This record gives sequence, C-alpha cells and structure tokens, in this order.
Amino acid sequence: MRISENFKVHEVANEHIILAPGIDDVDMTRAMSFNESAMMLYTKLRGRDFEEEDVVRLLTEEYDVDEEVATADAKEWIKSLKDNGLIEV
Amino acid sequence: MLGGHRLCVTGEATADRLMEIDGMAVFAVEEGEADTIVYVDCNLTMPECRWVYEFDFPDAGCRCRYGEGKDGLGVFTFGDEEFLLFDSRRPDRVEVTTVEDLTRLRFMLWMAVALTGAFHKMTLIHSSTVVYGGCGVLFLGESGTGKSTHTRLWLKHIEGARLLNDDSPLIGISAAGEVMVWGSPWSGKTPCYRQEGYPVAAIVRLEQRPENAIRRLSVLEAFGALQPSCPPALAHSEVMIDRIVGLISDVLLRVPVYRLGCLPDRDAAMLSFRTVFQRDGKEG
Repeated sequence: MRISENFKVHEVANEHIILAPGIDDVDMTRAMSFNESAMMLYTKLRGRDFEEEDVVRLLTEEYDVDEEVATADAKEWIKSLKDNGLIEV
Repeated sequence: MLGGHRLCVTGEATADRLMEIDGMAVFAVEEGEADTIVYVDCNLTMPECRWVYEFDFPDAGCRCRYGEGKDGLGVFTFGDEEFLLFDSRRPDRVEVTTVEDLTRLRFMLWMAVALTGAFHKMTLIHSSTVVYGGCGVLFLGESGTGKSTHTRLWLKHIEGARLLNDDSPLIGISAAGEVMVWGSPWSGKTPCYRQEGYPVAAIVRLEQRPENAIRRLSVLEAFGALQPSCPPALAHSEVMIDRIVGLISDVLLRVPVYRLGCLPDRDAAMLSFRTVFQRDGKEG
C-alpha cells in the first residue's frame, strides 16, 4: 500500500489537519487530524510502498512501546487512513 | 475602506455607478494611498484555465465560474464576456472587464475582495453578526438554518445587542494581531451597512435541533465549522486555500468556536449569549 498523494497536511492552530483537494466539495466529514505519531508515520512513509510491518517497526523504533501495542496502533493508523480514502492499495 | 483596507476602483464612471449600489456609499472614503486597486473597463483576453468551481447566479441571470490559469492566475467570470483577472503574484490588484449590470458589479467587487483580502489576512465569511459590549459574535450556518432568526432574537431579548451585518461581513487579523469583524456592503436581504469593526468574542455554528444545547469545538471540528463559510471558489484553488487555511488557523488560536443546536426561541439566544459572555445579561 501507499499513502495517496491527493491530500495535503495543513498546520492549523498547532494541529495537523488533512484536507483532500480535488473532490467536488471540500467534504469536511472526511477531514481528519494527525497527532504526533500519526504525523511521524506520514512523514516517513509518504512517497513509497509499505506494509503493516513497516509501520509497526517505525513505531517500536521511535517510541518506547512493545510490539503488541505497536501492532495495534499500526492497524488503527492504517484503518483511519483507509476510512478517509487516504491509502492506495 | 473595507476591513481597514483601502480599496480603490479606477474609472470615474464605474466609481459613480458603484455608489448607486445599496450600501456601497457607507464605505466610501476620501482618496488616499490604496492597499488594493480594482482596474475596471479593461480590455482583457480570457486566458486558458481550468474551471474549478461553478454556480448559477439567478439574480444576475448567468452562470458564474472560477478557474485557475498558469502561474497562479485566477479568473472569475459571468458567462464569457464579463470577467475578472487576479494574479496571485501581484495580490494588490485586480483587472475587470466592463460590467454593466449593477448586481453583477456588486458581486464582482465581492470576488475581488475575497481574492485580494486573502493576501491581507482577511476574508468574507457567510454569517449573521451581532455586536455586544464592544465585541462581535458571528453566527454561521447553511443558508436557511436560522442565522438571521437567531440574531433577531438577540436584538429582541438582549439589551445593548446590535446587528453589524446579516450575510457577509469581513473577518481578519488586525495589525495588532486581534481577530476583528467588520461591516461590509454585502448584507444579504437585510440592509445593514456599518463602517465599523470589533474584536471577535466568539464564533457559533448553528444547527436546527429539537433542543437547545451548545458546546465548544475541537480544532478539527472548528475548522470544519469555519471553512465552508469562507468564499467557496477559494476552497478549490491550491494557492488560495493555503491563505484561507492560514487565516482560519490564526483565528482558531485566538477565538473560541461553538456548535449550537437550537430551536428558534428566546432560550436559544440566552444560551448562546451566556456561553459567549459567561454571564447573565439584562433581558429586554
């Protein structure tokens, strides 16, 4: 999978907000925000293909969490991006 | 003078005709150095562009379109003959063909302010705005959700409340870094034209609900509440959207945004009033 190039991350009031341009209306129900770890993953994984294992590895490397927690977080991050149409499989 | 910025429309004939538009004369000032110049009656060629936004404008009898050309060029048209050109590399000016119809001219100016204002930390926002205690409160919502009804309830029940604008005031960051709201010549069906500006106390997005309830919004929710009320054409332009998002960001750092689900009744007005000003007001 890879992260879609069809959106931009904006800094809004100290948070990272994702807007997807190129759709007919700026559909705010599809906007989401990235917390710090989500932003880290986005920055490191954009522009390349990756698997769930890559996400898990980044989380364990960057944060002091065990693999079980990291796997759960990785699945959640991937799901939230998929739910918002931000992942191309 | 709009939102503290001086806008100059060249061409005496058109400037005179502008004054025929309801509400425009309130904002006329003596000549001076302009922040923005609108050149009218220009001989322009429509550039090649990609249309990114369209809507029908029944009052003006036409379909309007906004498009993007090369190098940050913006084009806004009424049909094929009458249009406006904006170069984002030179955001202090706008060029317009001859526009005869006063309704179209009025909207052309609105578009010019929307485009140039974005480069002056200012935009037009679709809202009904009241003033109380020297501060502005903006009520946002889709057309027909009851913004004007709600502000009318403020005027009726809250002593000292006044209407600043009923459709499209200017909002922006002043030189001192405050979020300000200003009256404008665009007030929808209610002719409320006030050459006045106030610091913004709060922004409230309204929704019709069977019960009155209000809550403060998170940054993401507040962004979602504000963005649709900004000029729609700007949301479809990559250059312009960065500007508007930056402005919204500045606003959200300083001003609370609430969502009010409400009935069109006095209790709704008292709820929003008490929440915004954190106290009981004198009721009329």
